[in-house]
Amino acid sequence: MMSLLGQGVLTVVGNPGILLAMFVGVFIGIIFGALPGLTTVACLSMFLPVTYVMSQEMGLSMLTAIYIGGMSGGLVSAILLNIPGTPSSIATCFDGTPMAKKGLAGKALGTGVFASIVGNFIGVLAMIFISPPLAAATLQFGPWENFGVTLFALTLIASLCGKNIYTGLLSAVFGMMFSTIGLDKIDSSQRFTFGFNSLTTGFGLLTVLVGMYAVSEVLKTASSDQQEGKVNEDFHMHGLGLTGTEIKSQSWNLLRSSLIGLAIGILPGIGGSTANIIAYSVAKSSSKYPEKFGTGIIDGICASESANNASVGGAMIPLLTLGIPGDGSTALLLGGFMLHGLQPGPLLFQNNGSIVYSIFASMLISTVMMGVIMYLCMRAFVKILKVPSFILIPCIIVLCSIGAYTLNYRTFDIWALLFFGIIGLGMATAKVPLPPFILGFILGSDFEVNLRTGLQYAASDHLMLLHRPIALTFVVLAVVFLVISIMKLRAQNKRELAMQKEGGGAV
Amino acid sequence: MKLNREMKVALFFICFAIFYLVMTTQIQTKDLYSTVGLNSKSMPKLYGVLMIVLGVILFVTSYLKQRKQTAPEEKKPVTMIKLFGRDVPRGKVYLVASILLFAFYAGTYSLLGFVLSGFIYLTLMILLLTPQRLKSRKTTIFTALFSFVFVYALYLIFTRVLSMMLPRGMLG
Repeated sequence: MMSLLGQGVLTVVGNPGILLAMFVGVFIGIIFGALPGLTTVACLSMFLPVTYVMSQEMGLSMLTAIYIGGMSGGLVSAILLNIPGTPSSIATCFDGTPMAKKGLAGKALGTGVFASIVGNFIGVLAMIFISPPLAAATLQFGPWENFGVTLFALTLIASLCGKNIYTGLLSAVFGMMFSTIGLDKIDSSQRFTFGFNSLTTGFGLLTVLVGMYAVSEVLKTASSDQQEGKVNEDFHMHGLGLTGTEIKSQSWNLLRSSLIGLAIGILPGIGGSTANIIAYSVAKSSSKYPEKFGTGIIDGICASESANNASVGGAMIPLLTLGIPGDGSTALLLGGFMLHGLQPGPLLFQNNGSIVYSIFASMLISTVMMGVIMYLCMRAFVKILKVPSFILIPCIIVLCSIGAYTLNYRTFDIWALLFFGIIGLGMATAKVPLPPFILGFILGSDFEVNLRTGLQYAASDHLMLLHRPIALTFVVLAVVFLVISIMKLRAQNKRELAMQKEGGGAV
Repeated sequence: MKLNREMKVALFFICFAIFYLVMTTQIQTKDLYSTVGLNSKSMPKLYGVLMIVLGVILFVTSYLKQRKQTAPEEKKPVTMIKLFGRDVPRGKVYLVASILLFAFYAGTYSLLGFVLSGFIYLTLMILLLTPQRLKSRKTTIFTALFSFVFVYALYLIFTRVLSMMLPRGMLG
């Protein structure tokens, strides 16, 4: 493994083009992460077409660099504007803004960058060591095992996203329905094409992703009142932002929060946006001075930023080993892998090991680049925060449309962008979570093919699933998660009603 | 009975599932390899039925929750703007205008070409989103100029540098 990683490092370092692509990716990612209203998903959507003509290593290194930059950039606006650039930096506002108000914006930014580097390194290293053995283990999987994993992932994401398990499940089934459009993968029967030739191949993954995430976001921003904040430009950054003693005192907090972020990142559907809040809560509850949290202390920033950045490596593990993306960014990365002729999943390490290790190496180097760029170019990012979103948003649409058009060179895909943009906006307005839809769409055809193939293998043996322990375990886990989520929803409803009655009584 | 958000969502999904199930009758199955197991109609039927069941559960649970609730759902304040002398919600107007502009862009993409359709779309979209206090003749000219330079630069980058094809349209 280490020799492959060494080769990967040499491939990346020895190619100035890859290093330049990564630099651009990290830089642009930070800008998108920093600008409120613009997200890493929008940035990945915009830059996917740019990578079409790049080599596999260069294109995928650029995309992963954007992902790393985007996750870190959110701290800039969280500290200087009190508006998190991404949902992953919500908890950074809690202590970052009070520190900035005390005149310690430079220290807060430096601490955030340092914690981001630590979190990213822990997440990426965990990904490097966990992914290969996990991929090797999943090579033994047959149709029943793959069916079990898919069912478990769909149930898990439906349970974890949103407040109501039923809306999560409905969203997943909705996505699975869209995956049935086009030719049936087993017997090539046409399904739901309505006479349109363009629908014979179904909707493209990237068209659905860009429409649901980027276009719907743009429509949402266009229809909402813009948040305007005053940028605090009066700050000075010295060194790393943290003294040696502070780093020592925060080491356990950084490690614990990174591990929380890593574990949450592995679970589909939640990722950095939840990781930063949970890590912050754990840091506060286990602190010797919990009352100081929220008043402007470095502990809160360290917890939030290390956790959200560690979730990047965590989210890459199921993507690379099982082909299961956990959020919008990893779903777009999955699209990027497929565009470059790579199929994430158990065979990725066997068939394209050298490319995978180049990506691992590029993620480690991107982390270093992110730190250097953030420390050196903070003033430039602060200036960019002043660029109005009403100029940036329409530009994103134009770039996304190029990406959609150049997939198949047909305007049908641009119409599809609008169609999925409207669906995405409708779902967001109705508070129906998007991630289950996306996972349902991505895994829908695998779910169907594996179930149908499994049943054909089983022939008359209706209890074949019981003879496959791994598959059975995943199916049982899916049922257990479902039951727990339903029970939690009922308990939550009862609590809400009780609180309302108490409130009513008080009046 | 007043429908809350979740009940409306449930009704939408139930209606969609019924439409989807009706459409499954048009699928022609082949059974090329085996008659054992499921055919190409089976999974769509399963999804349709599952969606109806989940939709009904969501509707009933939301209805029961609403019946026990005492406080009404909170409504967010809405910013209004004047349109043809009438007060209308700003968000809805901007949303419809954004969708119509995108539809215009998609519809003219091949006909007018990337540069012209992109220029028109970008200019109108930026002007639509520009706050009222910043609107002036100067900003309109700047917006048009910026849009043209941005779109033309993209066209040159994608066609000349990245060797990708973008529609040239009627301007050739």
